[in-house]
Amino acid sequence: MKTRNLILLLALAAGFAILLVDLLSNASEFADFKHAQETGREVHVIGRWVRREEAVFKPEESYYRFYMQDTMNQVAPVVYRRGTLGDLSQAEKIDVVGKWENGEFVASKIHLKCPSKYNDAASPGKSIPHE
Amino acid sequence: MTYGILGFRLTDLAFVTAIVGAIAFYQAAQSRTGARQWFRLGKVAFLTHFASVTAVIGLLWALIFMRQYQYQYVYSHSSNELSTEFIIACLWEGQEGSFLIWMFWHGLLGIILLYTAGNWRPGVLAVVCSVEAILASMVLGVVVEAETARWLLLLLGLLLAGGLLWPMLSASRQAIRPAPEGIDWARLSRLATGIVLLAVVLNLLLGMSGQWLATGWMRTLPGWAIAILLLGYAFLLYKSFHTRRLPLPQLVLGFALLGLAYVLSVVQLNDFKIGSSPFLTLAQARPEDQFLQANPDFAPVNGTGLNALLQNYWMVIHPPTLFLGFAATLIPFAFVIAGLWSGRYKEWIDPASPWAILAIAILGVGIMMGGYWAYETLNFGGYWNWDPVENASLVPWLLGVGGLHAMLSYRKSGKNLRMAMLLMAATFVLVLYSTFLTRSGILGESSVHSFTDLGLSGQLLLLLFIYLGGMGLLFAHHWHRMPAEDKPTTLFSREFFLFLAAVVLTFTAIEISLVTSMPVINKIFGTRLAAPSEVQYFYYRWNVWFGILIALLSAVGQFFYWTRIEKASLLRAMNKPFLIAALTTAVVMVLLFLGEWEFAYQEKYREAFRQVSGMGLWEQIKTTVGTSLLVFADDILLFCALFSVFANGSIIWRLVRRSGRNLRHTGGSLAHIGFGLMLLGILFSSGYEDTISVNLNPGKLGGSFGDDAARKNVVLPRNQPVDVKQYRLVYRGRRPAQPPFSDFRILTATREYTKVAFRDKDGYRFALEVPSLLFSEDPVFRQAGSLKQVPREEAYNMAKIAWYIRLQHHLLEPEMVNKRALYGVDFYPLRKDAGGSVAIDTTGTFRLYPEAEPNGDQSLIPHPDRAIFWQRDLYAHVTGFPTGMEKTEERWTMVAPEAGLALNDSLVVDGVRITATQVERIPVPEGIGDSELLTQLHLRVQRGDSTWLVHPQLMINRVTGGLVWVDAWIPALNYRLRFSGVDTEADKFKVMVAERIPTQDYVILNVISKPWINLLWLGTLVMTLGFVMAIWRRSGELKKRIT
Repeated sequence: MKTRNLILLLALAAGFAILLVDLLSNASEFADFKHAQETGREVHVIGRWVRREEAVFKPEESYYRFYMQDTMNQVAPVVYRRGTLGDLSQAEKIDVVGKWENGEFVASKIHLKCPSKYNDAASPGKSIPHE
Repeated sequence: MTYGILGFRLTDLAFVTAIVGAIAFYQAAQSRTGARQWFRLGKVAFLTHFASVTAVIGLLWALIFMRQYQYQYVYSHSSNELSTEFIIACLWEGQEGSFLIWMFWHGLLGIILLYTAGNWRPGVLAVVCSVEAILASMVLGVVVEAETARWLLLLLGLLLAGGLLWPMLSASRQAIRPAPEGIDWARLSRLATGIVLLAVVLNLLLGMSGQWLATGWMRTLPGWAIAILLLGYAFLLYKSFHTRRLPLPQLVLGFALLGLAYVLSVVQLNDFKIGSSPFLTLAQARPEDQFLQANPDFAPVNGTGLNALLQNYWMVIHPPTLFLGFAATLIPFAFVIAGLWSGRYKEWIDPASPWAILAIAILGVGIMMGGYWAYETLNFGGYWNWDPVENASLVPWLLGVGGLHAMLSYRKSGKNLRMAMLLMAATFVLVLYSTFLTRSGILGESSVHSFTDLGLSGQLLLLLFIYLGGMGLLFAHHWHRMPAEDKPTTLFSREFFLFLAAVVLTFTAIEISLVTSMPVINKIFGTRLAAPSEVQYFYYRWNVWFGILIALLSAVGQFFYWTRIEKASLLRAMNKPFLIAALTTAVVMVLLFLGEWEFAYQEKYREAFRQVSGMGLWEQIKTTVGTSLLVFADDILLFCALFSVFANGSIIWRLVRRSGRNLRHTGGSLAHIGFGLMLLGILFSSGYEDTISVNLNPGKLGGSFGDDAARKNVVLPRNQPVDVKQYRLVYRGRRPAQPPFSDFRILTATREYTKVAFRDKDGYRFALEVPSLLFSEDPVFRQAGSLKQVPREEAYNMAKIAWYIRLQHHLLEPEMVNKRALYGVDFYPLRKDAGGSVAIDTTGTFRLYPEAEPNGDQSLIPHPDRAIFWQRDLYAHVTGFPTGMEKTEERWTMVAPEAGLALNDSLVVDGVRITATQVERIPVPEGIGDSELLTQLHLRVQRGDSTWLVHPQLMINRVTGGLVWVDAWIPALNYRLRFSGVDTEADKFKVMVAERIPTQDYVILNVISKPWINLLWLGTLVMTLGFVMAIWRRSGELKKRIT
């Protein structure tokens, strides 16, 4: 009886350990360009579009290259070749997932966080049409 | 304003009565004397509480229905265009409203308990009331001034500490006589308590008149006095260690409370807000808006409306169901807590059983409703995205199911009691945790759902910690008093299988919760982890094994229905279902192989094997073993799910055949069958999803799609058939998805005029006549031919009708309310003939209307449409259309220069003869000023044998000379004729002829097949039916026991 409980407990502990290891080895991380540059790993970088720098949008070739400023205020070029990109000018935050390759950040996924009409109409900045 | 004040007061009442109820019920449960009086008080408080919550909801609904847009909540969640059902749904669109509906459900369940729970009532209702109080605090919307809060908290702390201290001080006189030469700490403490209380009360009294004693010696008095009190406590503590005659826990608690009071008297506090009220006016909600501050009663004419994506009937039923599920988890929790503190460790199980099953059933239904909604309208082919919001409701469900099995184990064999209590309690705490996750904004970056942080995160965290901490303390306190389980568990026993089931379910919950909680982990440990980049694959790799284990356990475990089954008889009973399942699995696998169906992750496995050679030895072994296991995982899952279905089916069969057993006992088996069916549905619909819209010519799409996507999306030029896998697709055209005005109805129709009723943007109702012509001539949707008949309302080109009404009556704003469009695509099934040639099966044609809405310049928001067959769904969504389509649709070109026609003059354009036959003045529609002159020109248009009579109108403002035209439109010719002006000198009527430019219209479509997805929905229904049976049975047993 005792031994069976022990075995069960050990099995659970082992399962949990494997889960943690697997999760941590598969997890990506939020980082900045500097970190991406140093490690070369696939990371999430969150930032804003830098409008004054040159941007190339070629939807017909599925090629986008633009400059982004990360949370540490470093500006770096981001390249995206995996399909269409939403409207950058609408996005208040950009979440790019990708790797640093040859002096630019090659994104595999881009999420645009838009102040969409779908969420919050009550955000403080928005004014009400008076009349 | 008065409504708002009423609303505030009602929420205050709900809050206070919930607190009173909690205290009264607690006293009724604890105290020997006066229990009846306390209970009566609690009952009155609770009923008042429920009534005020109901009144708050009623009031808020009334405000929404009365379009009181001066209130922030009404303004930002509803609008004039909404139809009744969505106006109802507005209540729970916002966070405040969903707290209200949650409270309402708690209240309703509490009322049922009040009349059914027997001697459990005080304890259970005390817990319910405490939760209600905290939830009510979320909608209070009270701004507390720092000073008031400081003194109130101080008073509360002192009263509590003093209340604890006082009896001890009196006791200590006998217990510990001070040495004659020493200081009498007890007396000094009492003196200090008196002084502090006096100072605090004085301060509060003065504070009400606005004169805080913020400066001077009075300000420091409480601090000093508390310091003395603390010293007194320290002495008592010391003595209690010494003499072991004073109650240590109470001393520690009092000490802590005093410490807190001291901190409060010293620290700087800011004004803070408790809760967020739905009754704030715009001016109150937006202090930065100067216009509103100057006009506090300002009410906009329209609200911002309900999110268009949410305008779906599921929005009406899904949120209340989910919240009922959440609310129901409180009841078993309350039973556990009441059981713990009253020492009834075992007895809670019976009365809590039906409630636990009810909670799980409703929560499960709520979750699946969400999945179905996502599948039907919101998503790109998925019913489940492993999104944190979805997981947040799944995890409590899993724990609850685990707890249910542990409860069952205790009922049957007196085992796993602690586990049952822990899991049932954890279920509710996890509900609180998910509330915290989804409402505090902490998930911000990891979820597709958007969240509004109402500044409640602190309060939510407090709520979570109170119940987590309280639960932990109670369990710690009672752990060793719970009855021991001395009899050993045997391997082949019901309780061991139930135990395993609970363990596996708990582990699954932990796994899912861990990934979901990454933002929380980041906050606590300062890490920067993000979910695995291929999170779906991650979840699959883990959950497929859990699915296998659960299916297997649910098959084998259910055989223990006949209590202690021998190993041999167990195997005998399982024989048949096992063989049938194995056989079916084999047949299905062969069929899959023959049909060249490939499991979704097969390519991933191959990729992993390819990469093995380049790895180190350990990595090689790890990858090879791991991937090899995964290769078979889906087949094993298939077998286990089938086994579970057949095994449980055989049990039901036996039950039905056996006399004396009735259908109520089939609950467990039915739920297991349902779960097995769900697993099968998930396995097939997601694992064997198949792209129908195979693009044989991917180059045609240009580069705007990735390589992979280009092969899965087809371009469909208008009216040109394109053959894809199994179907010939023809895109027929697009039209607005919704009329630009709401509540559009046809009242009466004659040949000439049709009377329509609608509401305009400002919510005003109109009924007016428009030419019937407008309703009959949408070329796009008249070509349906032998296809599924398009309902009459759908066939109208609403944009055209709107355009007419706008011109004629100056009613509506010229813009369309929304830009959603329906894309009509016909599906003709293809059949290969014996000769290999492709033929169309005309009997099976159907039309789908996927919707899409442009979003910015380059992207779009799709809303899928699907064709449902018994063995699969065809699921279509728009992935692209020509940009700027909504602008180019009505493009016209002049076919001839403006011409002046006298009566009976003719104009010939491209073989079409246009003759002016008559001109007449017609009365101006009501509501248009006297200065307008409306004239109508009769034109006869002839081409070949065909003749059309049309009447373009011209309205001239005699004062300003401004012109308004109502053009005539001949769809067959694609012509638009305008009576553009009058040449008074030559006595000629000017006519313009324009032709519609055929636009390069196309749509890019993605069509996928989701095989056997109906098994998922069927499984959900069967599982729910199982739960219903179980509730029926348990509540029946309960009733029998009571009477």
